[in-house]
Amino acid sequence: MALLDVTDLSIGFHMPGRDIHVVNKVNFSLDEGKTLAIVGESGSGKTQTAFSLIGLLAKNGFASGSVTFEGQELLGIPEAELNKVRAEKIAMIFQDPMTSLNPYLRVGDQLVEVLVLHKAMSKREAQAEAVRMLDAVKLPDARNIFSRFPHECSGGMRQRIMIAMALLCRPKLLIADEPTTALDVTVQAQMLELFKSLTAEFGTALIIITHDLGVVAGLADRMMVMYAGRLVETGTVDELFYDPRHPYTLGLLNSTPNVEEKSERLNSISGAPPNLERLPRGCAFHPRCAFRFERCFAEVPALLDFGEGDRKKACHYARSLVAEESAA
Amino acid sequence: MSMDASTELLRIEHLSKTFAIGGGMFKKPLQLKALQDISFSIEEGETLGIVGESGCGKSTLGRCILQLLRPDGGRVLWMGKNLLDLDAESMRKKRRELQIIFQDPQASLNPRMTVGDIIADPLKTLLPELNAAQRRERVMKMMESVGLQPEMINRYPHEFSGGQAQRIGIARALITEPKLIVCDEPVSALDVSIQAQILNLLTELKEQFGLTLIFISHNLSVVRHVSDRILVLYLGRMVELAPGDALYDDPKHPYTKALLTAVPVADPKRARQRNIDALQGEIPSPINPPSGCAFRTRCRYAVARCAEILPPLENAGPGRLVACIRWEEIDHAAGMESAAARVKVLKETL
Repeated sequence: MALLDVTDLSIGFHMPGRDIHVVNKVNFSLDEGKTLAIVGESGSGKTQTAFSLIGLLAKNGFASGSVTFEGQELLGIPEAELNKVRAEKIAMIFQDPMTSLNPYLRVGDQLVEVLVLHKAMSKREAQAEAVRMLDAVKLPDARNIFSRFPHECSGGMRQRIMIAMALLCRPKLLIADEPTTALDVTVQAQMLELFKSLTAEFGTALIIITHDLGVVAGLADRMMVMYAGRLVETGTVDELFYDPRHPYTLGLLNSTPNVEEKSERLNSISGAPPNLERLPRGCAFHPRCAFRFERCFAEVPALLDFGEGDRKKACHYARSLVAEESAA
Repeated sequence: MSMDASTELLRIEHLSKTFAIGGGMFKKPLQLKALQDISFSIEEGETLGIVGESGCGKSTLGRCILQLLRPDGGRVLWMGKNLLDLDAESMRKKRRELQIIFQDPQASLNPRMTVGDIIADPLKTLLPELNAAQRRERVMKMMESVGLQPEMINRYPHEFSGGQAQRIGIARALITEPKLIVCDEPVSALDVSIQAQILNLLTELKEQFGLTLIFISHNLSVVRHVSDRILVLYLGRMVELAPGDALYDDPKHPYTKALLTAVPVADPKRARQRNIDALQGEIPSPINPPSGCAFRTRCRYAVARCAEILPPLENAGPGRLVACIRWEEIDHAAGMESAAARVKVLKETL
C-alpha cells in the first residue's frame, strides 16, 4: 500500500457570484521514503494540490475526491483529527522561512513547544531532542541558536530551523513548497544536500513543489507536471527529462537555460498560461502547442497509461516528441 | 570616428559606494561598504553579465552607473565623459542614452497610467520636442517591436500578465533609443516559459537596436545564456572578470568555482554524478567583512596569508582578471589532478 493515495482530487474557490476551479481530478500516489516533485508554473495548481492534502486551503476553498494517508481518509475529517495528523505524520515547509517563524519567540522555545505539545515530553527532554535535531540539520552551535530570535538568524539558518521543526515529530511525509526559491545558490545547494541526507536518514517521504527543473533533477525519484489545474504528465524523473511525452513538459525543458553550455536561442513556449476562468476548449495547452491537431481543439485529453512502464500523459499526440523534434 | 568592433562605451574606474546604516544623536552610524574599487569597461554592442549572491553589490553597481545612486568615489566615464561631473540638467539629457529595466514588472509600472502613457513618459522629459501625435506613433511602433499589440495602448498595467508587463518595461526603456540598458534581474519574477520568451526578446532587440547591455542576475544559467563577458562580485568587490565561456568552463577564483558547482543542473544523470562540494556557511555581514580576502572564511583553499593581504586583480589569461593570491597554484594543482585522472582512465582502457 502506498503511503499517500490521492484520487480524483479537485479543488475550487467560492468567489462572489461564482466558483473558480483550480485543480481538476488529480490522481497520484507516493511510497514511503520516496521523493515526488510537483512541477508547474504559477496558476498550475501545484501549491493548492499540496495545501489541500493537509487541509490548508483558504476559507473559501473546497476540495473533493479522496486523500488517504496510511489508509486514513484526510479530506473532510474534523480539524482536531487533522491537527493530529499534521503534528505527527505530515509536516510542511514553506517558501519564506521568515514569515513561518514566530518573530516574538526565541527559536528554542518554538522548537520545544512542538515536542511538549505533541509528544508530551518534559521541557528538559524536549530541549535535548531539539538540539539533536538542530545538529541533524547541520546548524553549528545549536545551543547559541536556541536563544536567538528569528530575525537574528540568516535566511539559510532560518530555513534549516524550519526543516528541524518540521522533522521534530519524525513525520512520515514532508511537504516542501518552493523551499529554496528565496535562497542564494550556494545556500540552495546546501539545502538540497540536506534534504537528500535527511530523507535517507529518517526514511521520510518528500513532496517538493517547485518550478525549478534543476532542483527536481537532483532530488526527486518521480515527478508530475501540472498545467492549468490538470496533471499532464507523470513518470520517473529520468523518463520525463530524457523522453518527455507531453509537449508542455518538453517546452519547460527547452525553456530552461543550461549552466553547462551556451545556446544561441531558447526554444520558449509561445503565449502565456490561460486564465483559469476562461480555459480554452479541448486541451487547455493547445493554443501554445506546436504538436496540436483537430482533436486537441475539441476534446480534453485524459491522463492515460500509454504502455511504457509506470508513466502517464494527458495528450492526444501519440508519437515520441523527442524523435519528432530532432527530425524537424 | 569609425564604429569599429572595439569602441569603448563605458569605463568604470575605482568606483566605491558606502551606505551609512542606523546611527542617531549619540550613536555613530555603521558603514556598509557596498562597492569597493570597481574598475572595468564595456565595449559597444557587448553584454556584460554581473553575478553574485544577495548583498554582493550587483544592483548597487547598476544604480551607480546610471547615477540613480551617487557613488562616493571613482569615475563613471560614459563615452569619455565622467558622469559624476555633470550637473542635474546635463545628466537628465544623458539619461536618454542610459536606461534600466527592473525586476518586478508589475511593481515598476504606475497602475493609474495607461500603457501608452507609461511607455511615452520618458519621451516627455527627454525628448520634449516631440508632439503628442509623434509620441503616440513611436509608442505604437515600439509596442510592436516588443511583441505587444498596439491596440492595447489604452489599457492599464493590471490587465497584463507578468511577461507582458515586462515587455512594457522594456518598451519604456527602449523608447528614448538608448545605447546602454542596465537589466536588473529582468526575468527573476517570471515563470520559466515566459522567462525564455523575454530572454529571446532581449537578444533580438539587442541586435535590432545595436544595444549594449549590463545584465544583472543571481541566476548563473540565465547569465551564461545572454552574456559575452561576466563579472563576479563578492561582498562589494570584484573577484573575477572573464569572457563567458572561459569563466564557465574554466573558473579561476575559488568563489566562482564554488558558485558554479552549486547551480543545479536540469539533467538527472549529470545531477547524480555531480559531487556537490557545497560551499559552507553564508556570506558574512558587509558591515564587518573579514580582513584580507573577504571570501577566505568560506574558501577551502584559504591559508594564513589570505587574512593579511587584500588580493589584487591579476591578469589570468586573455581578457581575464582574478583576485586571488593562490589562483595559479590552485589552477596548477587542478591541472595536475585532471591529467592524473586522464592517465588513470587511459591505463584502465589499455
